[in-house]
Amino acid sequence: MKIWRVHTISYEFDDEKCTCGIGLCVEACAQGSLEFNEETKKMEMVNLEQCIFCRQCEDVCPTQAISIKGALTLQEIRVC
Amino acid sequence: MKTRMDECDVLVIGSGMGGVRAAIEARRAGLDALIVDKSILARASATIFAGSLVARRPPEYLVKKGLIEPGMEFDRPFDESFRYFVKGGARTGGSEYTANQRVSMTVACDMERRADELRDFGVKDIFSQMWLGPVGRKGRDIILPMVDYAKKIGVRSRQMTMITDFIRQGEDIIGAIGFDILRGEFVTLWSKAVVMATGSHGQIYERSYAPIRMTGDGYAMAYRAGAALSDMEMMGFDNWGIAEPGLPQYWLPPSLARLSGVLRNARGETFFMKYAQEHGIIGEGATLSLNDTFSKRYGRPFIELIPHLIKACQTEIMEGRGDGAAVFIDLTQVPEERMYLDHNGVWTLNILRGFDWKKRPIRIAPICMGDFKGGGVDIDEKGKTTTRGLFAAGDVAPGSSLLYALVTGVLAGRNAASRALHLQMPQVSSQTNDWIQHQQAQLETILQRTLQDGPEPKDIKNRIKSVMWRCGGPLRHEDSLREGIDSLTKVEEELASKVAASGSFRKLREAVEALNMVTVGQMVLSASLYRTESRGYNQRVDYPNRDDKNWLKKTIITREESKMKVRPEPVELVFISPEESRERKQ
Repeated sequence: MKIWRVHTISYEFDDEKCTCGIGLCVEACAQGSLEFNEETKKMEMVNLEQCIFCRQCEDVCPTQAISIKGALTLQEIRVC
Repeated sequence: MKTRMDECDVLVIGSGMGGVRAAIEARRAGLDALIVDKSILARASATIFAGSLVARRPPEYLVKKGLIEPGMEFDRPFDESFRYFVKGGARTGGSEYTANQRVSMTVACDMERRADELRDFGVKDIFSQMWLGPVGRKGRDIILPMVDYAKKIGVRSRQMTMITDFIRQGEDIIGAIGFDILRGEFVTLWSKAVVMATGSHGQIYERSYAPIRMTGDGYAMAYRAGAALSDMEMMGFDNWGIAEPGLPQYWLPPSLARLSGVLRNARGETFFMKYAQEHGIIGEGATLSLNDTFSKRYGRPFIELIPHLIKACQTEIMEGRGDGAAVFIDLTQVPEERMYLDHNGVWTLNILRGFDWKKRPIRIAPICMGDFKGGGVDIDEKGKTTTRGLFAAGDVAPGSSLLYALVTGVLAGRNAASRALHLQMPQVSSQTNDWIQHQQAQLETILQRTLQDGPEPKDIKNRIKSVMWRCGGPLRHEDSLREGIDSLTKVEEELASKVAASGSFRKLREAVEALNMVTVGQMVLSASLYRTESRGYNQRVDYPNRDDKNWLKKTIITREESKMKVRPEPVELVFISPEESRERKQ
């Protein structure tokens, strides 16, 4: 498990679960925060600073290897 | 290297709103439609981040609740919508009357029907999709069900396949060539008609919040295939790009938070107040109170202020009164609940994570919007480009917004289908086969080069972006534009002879994107240099005024004898002219 943090938000990536071999999350990332490592065939976080927490990566991952915690979401706001 | 062949009736390139809608239309006509995307379906498109459809007047309760300010772009009945498209997307000034009015009229007439039709594709809650609920992921919630629907009715798709060029035989486009990134092989796709829906070119700028794959490939491919492009200088910028170290390069989403707040330069001066007074943009009933929203403060709808805001901020920066390349927006007095707003699933407070905006002003600077622009591959009201067999939909055509993409998608899909219905599969000449082999050989050379031979595509991309931002950004000047063209010519030479993909097809995609970016950059700079006036998105420091007498024209770019040619083309003012518009306003 790899965890990257920015302020109260943590970006958690379970590299053992990362098995699609295509980099679906990398392709879905509009900000260029993620890159595909062609040797390991896994995702790599290259620039968390650019992440806008749009959650596209989390959305497309077929094996739920990515989870973003502590960011604002639609659900939380509706509860307020 | 292996080449995989495939054929279809209608080939659609790109899987955003325009592409998917075009494919559905062609498939509904009973044809074999194939969508090809250089990334994965829908997810890399600008559609995913696009706002609501904006097809109708907003419900009263939203206005009453203060979620929509009267006079904002959203408060737009038919006539206004039409004018929005005529003006080329009014957000930051648009292209101001150079848009094709016949296309604009078609879009305005068709949009409600097209938006309603989304129900058939399984799009839920059309009402809130059309009418900016305060929160939600609009574009995404529309396009994903549409993709599922397209698959269900039998539209075929091919992901991770980069198209590099259209195949032109004689006067006709008969398919496209490219490569499959995952399988690592070349691809040749034959078809009776081609719809391009490749999106815009926001990524050619250093400061941009367009999704990273928006490199304008379609523009460059259409140009090489001989199609005409119009108004390429009309590239939209927004004023609210975050320029704070440690925060992402994005914008402050258009939540209400940014409609209040105070702009200051590095000396703490409220420079926009001065600018507004000097330029006579203060309207009736302006309160001039810094506590009010921008539109109340200056007595004008916010969208009319945006071009001035960009100009004022960029001038402060260029004349050295900014903090480096930024000015400040002071949101310290904005009530916190106003900050709890999102823009299509991206939350302002997530972007500002940890930045204490209650205590400190935020550094901002103009940023390229990418999806708001007035130029593109020229189309008529049937979605046809000037090259036979090639149709265009969405941002790649001269327009922007989800509705524009939706309507042009239908036009392009339908007319591509009617062409395909009457044609046999094309007979391929030996000349065409030679051309394909030549193109593939060039790609193979790039693929085989290693880092010892030349730079990575990414480095070259960054150089292009930096040249474009410096020379063709929000405020332009003849000298900077010429300098930009020279610099890009040098980059282009190096790119063609040295760029190295080191055997990786992903890097080859980047290299082809970089090649396309150079061509598109040249188009933007050349067209801007040619238009010796300031109109809408094309703001020239050396020609600061709009010149309707000489410049109620489009700039048309074509390729002639391998050279880029720019020429003017008068706009047909069939429905509305600037004079009429002025009269109606009074």
